[in-house]
Amino acid sequence: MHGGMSMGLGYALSERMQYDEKGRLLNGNLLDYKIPTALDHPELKALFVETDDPSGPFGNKSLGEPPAIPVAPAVRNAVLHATGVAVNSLPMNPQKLVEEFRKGGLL
Amino acid sequence: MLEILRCTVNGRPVEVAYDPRESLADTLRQRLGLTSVKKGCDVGECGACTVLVDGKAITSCIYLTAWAEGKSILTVEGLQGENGELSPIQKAFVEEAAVQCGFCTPGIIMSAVEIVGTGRTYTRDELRKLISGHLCRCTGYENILNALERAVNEANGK
Amino acid sequence: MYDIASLYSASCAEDAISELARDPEAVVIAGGTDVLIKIRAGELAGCRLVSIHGIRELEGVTCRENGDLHIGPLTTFRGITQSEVIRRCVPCLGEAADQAGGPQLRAMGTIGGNVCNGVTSADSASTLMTLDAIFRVRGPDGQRDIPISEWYRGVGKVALRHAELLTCIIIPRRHYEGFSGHYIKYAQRSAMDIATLGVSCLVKLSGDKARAEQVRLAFGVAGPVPMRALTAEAGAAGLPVDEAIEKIGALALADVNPRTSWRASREFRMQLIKELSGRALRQAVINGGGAVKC
Repeated sequence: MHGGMSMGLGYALSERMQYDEKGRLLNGNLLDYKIPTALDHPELKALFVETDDPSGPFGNKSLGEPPAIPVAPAVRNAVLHATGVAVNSLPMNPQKLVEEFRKGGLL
Repeated sequence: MLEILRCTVNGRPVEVAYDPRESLADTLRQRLGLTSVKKGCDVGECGACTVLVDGKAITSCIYLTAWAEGKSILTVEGLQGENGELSPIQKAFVEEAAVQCGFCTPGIIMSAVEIVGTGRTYTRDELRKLISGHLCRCTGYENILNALERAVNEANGK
Repeated sequence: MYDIASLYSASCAEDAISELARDPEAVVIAGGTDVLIKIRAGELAGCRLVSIHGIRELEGVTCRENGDLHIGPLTTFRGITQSEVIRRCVPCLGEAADQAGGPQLRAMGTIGGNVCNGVTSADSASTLMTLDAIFRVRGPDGQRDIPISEWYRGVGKVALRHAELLTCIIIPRRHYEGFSGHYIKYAQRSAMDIATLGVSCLVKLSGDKARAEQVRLAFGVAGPVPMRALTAEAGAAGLPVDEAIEKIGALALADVNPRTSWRASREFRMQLIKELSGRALRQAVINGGGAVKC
């Protein structure tokens, strides 16, 4: 759960692959491709609702992908709720937010 | 031309031939078989290669082997007890489910050894900064911090 | 393995200097956190290294009898942060050093390397600029002192000649006494990152702490080299603290010339300069015991 949330946060806020005009990858290293560090993470809480899925072994559901998927939309909606600005591209890093906030008349 | 390195590794005196172009990560892994030292990026960005040199956590992939002359080096292999039992820090990582793929783990454990070794207690935020030199893709750092808190508190008798 | 042609481990500063003099293309390596990365990237492939790693005489921070601070260039970032002398006299420099990279890098990288690599993003550079630090270098022709205002010559270029070694970073007493400072490193991550913008502010408050009597403001990554914002400094000096904090950002825009790169746009950097200058001054005022309303 935590890992999926972590990946979702990186996807939402800092990770992107950048290319030059010839299609060459500019940030193919762990300095310039921004995976969040421990200082970039908030507390991550996971709460389980114990259900019984008849199609899974021992009533289980798989849990690999789902935690990663809704994080970026949730953060985007939180930004919308807080500022009234709808950001529709990722990552929502500070430079993108400055641009969107300017367009939205906040800055 | 090979040189000879004389230093202490995991408590034992070591004399090993090395190429001066080697990083300490290269030498520990290839010449001494200490493969707990992981190469995640080879440029000092991910922390997976972290070992202790004279008690300080450094990224061995950007540390020249030549600089280790006369020094004392500690890797995860040096943490186990006489009968192979895990050290308290390693046990904390296991019990707090702080290990998923395990690739970042040896490096973080070595940083944890330095952190616990200071004899101090830390807030969770301070611990975040102390492991900010380690990248982990699997855990979101949550259980790693739980394991660190546990190890620090246990060492301080809490 | 690193693509290096040879590694000479110097036993002392003189030894390093004479080896560098003998070999006009040899490259100095201290902590290795810049040079080894460059070798990996192919920039220094095949170089001959002269290692000054571990040379004791070049490490450590002392406060001289006259109050001047002498910083050994091989002092690591962590060594700077933990130095009792730095904490007492220029805590803002220790705090700046604590922002570089991550814990492991701070245990390996040196303050000397940080200023000799000539990069605009160096975390210690902007604070050393506000302190008007002096770089003492020694070479085959003797010793000379270079003020930081003459140190940076262009992207990655400093006033150090080949075969010269930085042997001491000096902060004269009158440059730090009575001042309080703050460094903000703005980066895309909270650790393991190079500054998108670095801003360092040093302030001397009036006796009643109500005015910013003297202000020094320096930036990293606002131009090709670390720079002082002289218009902003002149404009803010003497103002009541709240007014200085409010105005300094807009004033600083006249001093800077950041570029657009694939890492960050010029517009974004200007926004950072405008906003963070005031924040750095604000904290510097608070650190000096001043009260702020804004």
